[in-house]
Amino acid sequence: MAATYITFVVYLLVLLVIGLWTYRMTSTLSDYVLGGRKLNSWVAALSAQASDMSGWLLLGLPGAAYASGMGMWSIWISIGLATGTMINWQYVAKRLRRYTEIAGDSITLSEYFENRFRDRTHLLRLVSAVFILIFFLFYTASGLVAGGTLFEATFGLDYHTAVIVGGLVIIGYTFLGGFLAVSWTDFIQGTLMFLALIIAPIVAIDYVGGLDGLFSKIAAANPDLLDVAKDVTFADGVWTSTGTLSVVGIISALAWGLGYFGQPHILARFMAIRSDKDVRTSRLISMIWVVITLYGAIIVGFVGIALFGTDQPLQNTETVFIDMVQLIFNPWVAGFLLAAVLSAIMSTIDSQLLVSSSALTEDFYKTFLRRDASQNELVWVGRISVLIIAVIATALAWNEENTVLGLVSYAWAGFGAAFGPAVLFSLFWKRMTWLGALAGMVVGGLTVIFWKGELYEIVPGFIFASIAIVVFSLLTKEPSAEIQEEFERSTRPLES
Amino acid sequence: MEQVSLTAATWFWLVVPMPLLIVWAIATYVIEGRRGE
Repeated sequence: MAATYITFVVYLLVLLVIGLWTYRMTSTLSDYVLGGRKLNSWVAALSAQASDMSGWLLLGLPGAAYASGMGMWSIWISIGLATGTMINWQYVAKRLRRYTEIAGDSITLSEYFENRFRDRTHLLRLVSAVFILIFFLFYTASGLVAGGTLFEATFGLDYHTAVIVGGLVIIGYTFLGGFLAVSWTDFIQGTLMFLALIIAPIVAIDYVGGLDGLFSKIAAANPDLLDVAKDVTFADGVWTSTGTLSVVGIISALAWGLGYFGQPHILARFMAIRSDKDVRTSRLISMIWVVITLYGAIIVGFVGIALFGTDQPLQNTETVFIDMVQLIFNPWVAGFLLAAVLSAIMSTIDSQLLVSSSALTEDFYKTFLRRDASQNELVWVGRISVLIIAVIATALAWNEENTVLGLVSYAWAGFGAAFGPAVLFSLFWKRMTWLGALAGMVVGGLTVIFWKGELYEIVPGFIFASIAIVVFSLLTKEPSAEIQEEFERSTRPLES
Repeated sequence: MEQVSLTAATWFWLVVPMPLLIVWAIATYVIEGRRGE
């Protein structure tokens, strides 16, 4: 236990030092929110992926794979996510990087929408900022729940104390350093997660007797856990087959990939990359990272079934990585691997806090309250916003019954449907208008909030939002020549 | 210990689609590099 404590404390100190170091390099709001568009290929790639994956990668996904085996919640969802990542980097990253610079050097997604469509009413900015604040509060709360689960399972801390300790460290360095601190710590965290998800599964597979041992132990728990087409549920320590996976189930799992086009904390990395020429390198690094870590995470779930079996089934499936690491590694290595869980959680929360803070600073304070605010004043308003948002998210995380997967799933669908179609159409359809964008966001966001059914809400949300964009754009008059000329420029490489 | 193996479909979906995405990323890396993009 002492070794695990020491590893954790050293790791947290390194993060705080980075926060202090980058504090000295942050003087304007653009520095604070986007790091002044200076991210190199490696930092942009690992920062995007680490912010993307969250505590979900080391808690939610292995837990889901542990509960359902090789079906819907492991192989299918991983294919959906990896495909979404690739398409996002391939088709969105470069265009968005160019367009946000051309469209009034926009530094937030909301500002981009406003500048892209020359929205003098500020309604686009307002509506998108409201969705950002609503869905990120749930998302950030999911991270704090994950932090609470980690500290509770690792150190036996009281859940509520654990949520507060984790929250204080994250707020500390996001508050100080802003985007540069977050991106550089994301880089370290992304590396740590990558190593943990290579080392842990390899050692664990060997521990359970290689692939043969793994498969036979899983089959002993329930043979259907080994079939990609079977649906298995887990309750009270028992895996029960419920038949063949439905087409709706498979589509829902694959549809997680649609969420990528609308996640503000990931798109912010595309906007902050040093040059559009750096995208191809970042894309390759990201794809290698994401495919290997997804494999690592689902294998952890599979090994968990073999390790704990029907004799010692887990109470909370989302602690499978933590329990496995504590069982098979010595305390120093376990401390290192568990710090990776903390990395996964923190690297996402910090990015989300920052995007929410920029929504409050840039989209509310500067736009509606103080148009002439100085850069120094805006940086401080940004810092105070981080504090306010973190306090509200902590209140939401207070209920221990929340699950990481449930909260993430909701926020992911919300962003994917509200912003995904709007971002895609804005980058690729010249005829899209201000009203089309507004209708798409509102219809997508509200569909997610009100949709009830077996199908994952992102699917109807994405479809209805796309229809709304097309219909309302065609009902309004064609965009001005200036907007169309700007659109054409975004399709060509930036002049350096 | 009894030998257990995965079905052909499970093996396929487990080991083919995701590595193919890496191949796609490598291909675009090379192509865009040659075009100087």
